[in-house]
Amino acid sequence: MNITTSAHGDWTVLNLDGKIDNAGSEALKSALFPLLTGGNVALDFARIEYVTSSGFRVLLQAEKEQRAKGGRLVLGNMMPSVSNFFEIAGLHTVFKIAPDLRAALDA
Amino acid sequence: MTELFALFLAGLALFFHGVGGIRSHLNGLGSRRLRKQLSRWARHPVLAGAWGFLFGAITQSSTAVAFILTGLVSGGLMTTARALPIVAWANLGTAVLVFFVSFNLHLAFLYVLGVSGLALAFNVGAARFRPVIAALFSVGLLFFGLQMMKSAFAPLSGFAWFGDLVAFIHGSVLATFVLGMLLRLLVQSSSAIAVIAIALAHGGLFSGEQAAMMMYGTGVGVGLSVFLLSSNLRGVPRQLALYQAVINGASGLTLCALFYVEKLTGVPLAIGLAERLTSDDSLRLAFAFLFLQSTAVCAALLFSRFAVQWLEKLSPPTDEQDLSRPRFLSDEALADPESALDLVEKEQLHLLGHLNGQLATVREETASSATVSAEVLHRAVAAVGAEVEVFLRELAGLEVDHQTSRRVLALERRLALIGSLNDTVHAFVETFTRLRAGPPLDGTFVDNLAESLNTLILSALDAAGSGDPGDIDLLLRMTADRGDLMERLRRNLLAGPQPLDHHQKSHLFYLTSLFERAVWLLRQLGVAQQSLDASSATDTKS
Repeated sequence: MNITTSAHGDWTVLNLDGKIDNAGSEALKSALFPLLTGGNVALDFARIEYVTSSGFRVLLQAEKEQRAKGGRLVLGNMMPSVSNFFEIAGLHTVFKIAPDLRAALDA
Repeated sequence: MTELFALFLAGLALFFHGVGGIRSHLNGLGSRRLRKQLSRWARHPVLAGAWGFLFGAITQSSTAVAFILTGLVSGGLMTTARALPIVAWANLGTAVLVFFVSFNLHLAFLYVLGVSGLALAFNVGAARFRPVIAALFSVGLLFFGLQMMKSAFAPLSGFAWFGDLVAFIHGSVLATFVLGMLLRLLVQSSSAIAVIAIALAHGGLFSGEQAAMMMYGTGVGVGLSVFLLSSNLRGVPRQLALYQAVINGASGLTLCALFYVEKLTGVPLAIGLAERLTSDDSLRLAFAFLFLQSTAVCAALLFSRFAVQWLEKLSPPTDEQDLSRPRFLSDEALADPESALDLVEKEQLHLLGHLNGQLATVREETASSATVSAEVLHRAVAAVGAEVEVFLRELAGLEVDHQTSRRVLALERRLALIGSLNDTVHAFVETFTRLRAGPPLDGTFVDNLAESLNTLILSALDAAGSGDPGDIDLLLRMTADRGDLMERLRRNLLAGPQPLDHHQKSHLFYLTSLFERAVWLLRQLGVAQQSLDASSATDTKS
C-alpha cells in the first residue's frame, strides 16, 4: 500500500492507496501512529479497495489513542463497497466518516 | 479354514468397534467427578499396579486392559502417566490363570454385551447413564471380538497343518520362539498359547525348552499385535499401546537372550530357576510364563522414569487432543474459589480466541497459514467448554459468598454464549466453504462478512480481556442492530449483475443470518461482561 502525506489547514491528511490487509495495516500503523499526538488527522480512502480485519484493528487502535489524547480522526472519500464494509462491521458508529473529506475538513 | 479366517476377521472388526466405542462414549461422559475418582484409584503406583494385576487376572488379556485404558485416556478420564502402571501390572495378572485355570469370563462378558445392548436398544435407564451403558456395550464388543479371534484358532493343535508344522520345526528352539510370536498375532491370548505349549510339551511333541521359548515368543507377539491393533489410533491413546508393545517385546527378547546365555555358559538363569523351583514339567513351564510376565513388569519399572517423556515424543498429542484440554483449570484451584474464577475467565478468553482460529481457516490472508482445521477447533471449544461448565458447577456447589455466587452466574452466562458462538461461527465457516466450493462468485461481500466477524470477535476479546468500560462500550456500539442493513444488502445481492443459482442464494441467505446471529451473541457477550465487571466491582468494594 502506498501512503503519502499532505496538509490541509490544521489537518494532516494521509492519502492511502491499495489494500489495507496484513502488510498494508503495518504500513498504515508506521505512518499513522507517529501522527497521533493530539492533533487533527484525516485518512483519505479514495483509492482504498479493500480493508481486512487487520486494517480495522489498526484503525480502532488509532481512534482509541486519538480520543485519549484529545485529537480528532476523520476518515473520508470511501468507495461505496468500502463504506458498506464499515457498516457491516459496525464501524460507522465508531469513526467519523465523511463522504467528502475536503469539505468536511473545511467545515 | 475359510470359516475360521472369517470368524477371525469378524472378531477383529468387533474389537476395533469396541475400542472406538469406549473412546467416543467416555468422551461424551465428560465427567470431571469420574475422572477424579479414577485418578484417586490410580494415585499411587502401587495402588495402580494392584488394580492392573486384578484387571489382568479378571480379563485374562493385558491387550484388552491396555485398550480399555486407551479409551479412558482418550476420553480425558485418566492421564497416560497414571495408566502406565496399570497396563504394566495387568501383564502379570494374566499369568494367574495359567496357574489357576478357573472361571469362565466369556459368559460374564456375554451378559455385559447382551444387557447393555438391550438397554441401549430399548432406551432403558436415565439419559445421564446412557454414555456409561454405551461404553459397557463397547467393552462387551471388545471382549466378544477378542473371544471370536481366540476361538477362530483355538482348535489349532487339531489341524493337520499344525501337526506338520510342529514336526517341521522339531528340535529347533528358535523356530518355536518364532511360532509363539506368530501364533500370538492370531490367538489373542498369551495364556492360551502358554496352555497349548504346555500341552505340546506334555504330549512329547516339544521339549520343555522349546515350549518355554514358544511362550517367550508370545512376548514379542504381544508387542507386534498391540502395535498393529493400535494402528488406527493417533496421539495420546497410541502411547499406551506403544508402551505395552515395548515392555512385552523387551520381555520376550530378554528371556530369549537369557535362554541362549544359559545354554552357552551353563549359568542357571530362567530355565535353571524354574527347575529349582519345581520338578513338575507343566508347573515349570507355568513358571516360565510367569517369568515372562514378570520381566514385562520389570521392563516397565526400569522404563517408568522417562516413559511419559519418551512416549510423548514417539506419539505426540494430536492438535485436537492438545486443544481439547483445559489450559488453566485444575482441581487444586477449587480450594480458592476466587482464584478458580480467575482461571475460568482466562479459559473462556482462550476459547474465544479459537473462534478467530476457525475464521482464520477461510479468511483470504490467513487460510493458507492456518494449521488447525475449523472442525478441530470447534470440537475443542465444545470439549473444553464442557469441562469449564462442570468446573463452574462444582464451584457453585461450594459454600461461597453472594458476590462469588454472582460471578459464577455471570461466567456461566458467558460460557453459554461462547458455546452458542462456537456453533454459529462453525456453521458460518462451513457455509462460507460451501459457497467458495460452488460456482464462481464475486467474493467481496462474503469476504467482508468474514473480515467483519473477525473484527467483532477481536473487539469482544479486547472487552473481555481488559474489562475496560471503553472497550465494552465500543463492542456494544459495533454490535448494534443491523437487521435493516443486512436486509438491504441481501436485496442488493439478489438484484445485482451477477446471476446466482438457487444454492448460492440459499447459502448467502444462511450466511448473512448466521452473521446477524453472531453479532447478536457478541452483543450479549458485551452485556454479560458489564454484569461480570459489576460483580467484580462489588467484590472489590466489599
